[in-house]
Amino acid sequence: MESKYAVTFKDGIARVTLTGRLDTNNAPGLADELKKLVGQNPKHVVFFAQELVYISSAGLRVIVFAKQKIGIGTEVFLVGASQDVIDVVKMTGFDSFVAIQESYA
Amino acid sequence: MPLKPMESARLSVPADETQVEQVLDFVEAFATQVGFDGKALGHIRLASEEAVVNVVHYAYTASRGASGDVGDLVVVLSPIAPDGNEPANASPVGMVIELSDTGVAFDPLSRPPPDISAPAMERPIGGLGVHLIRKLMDGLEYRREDNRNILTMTKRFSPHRL
Repeated sequence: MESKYAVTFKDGIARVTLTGRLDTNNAPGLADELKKLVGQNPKHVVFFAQELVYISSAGLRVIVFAKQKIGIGTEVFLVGASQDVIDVVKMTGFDSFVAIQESYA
Repeated sequence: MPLKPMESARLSVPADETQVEQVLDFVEAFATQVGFDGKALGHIRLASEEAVVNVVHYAYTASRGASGDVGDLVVVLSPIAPDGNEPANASPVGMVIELSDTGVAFDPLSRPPPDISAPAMERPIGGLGVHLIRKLMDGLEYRREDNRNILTMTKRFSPHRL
């Protein structure tokens, strides 16, 4: 499976679709994409992770960045993640500030 | 499925981002031979990525600035033989991953662990890699020897597997 990501921003909602892996190779590129949202104050940043098979700390840092730096009061969601990915998120305690959900309306 | 006893394997690469994938594939192939699969195999690969990336990013920072050269990352993988009265050809019970570099002396285990209960806005971003390695692997040690940083990670099969 090829690793890739896609970011859209509309009506205050940033949607990030993740495919394959989010790791040292591509996390910086995604971080650069998300930096473009700084100042635009998205209400939500939603990571769609149904096709995500692997995340390392580099990928987790992007999620932290989304929470800490993108906007004031921005809520971050991790949607449709596999149990393996959820386990890694929980190991670092990030589940306390990312909403882990099966779907997002 | 009994496995043959195994020998150690060694790989040396420049400590550069372009080499990370090769190192991880090397570790994963060895781990598969030892008998790891599924979740444990994923954990080994993730822990190895965290450790290797730390070396790539930090070990040769000083020299890289000056000449652009980086030193080597040496990876030695060894099976863990069973204890006690096992026959000589018994299968491994786990594996040891040793990463070493000749970069600046740096003990990644000496940093305080991240406060994972801190609220989002107070969470520093650093220290995550080592924290993950500790959770994913059974053993983690650092030593400095002969001008090398040596990080040793251990993973054993969980008891119910046998």
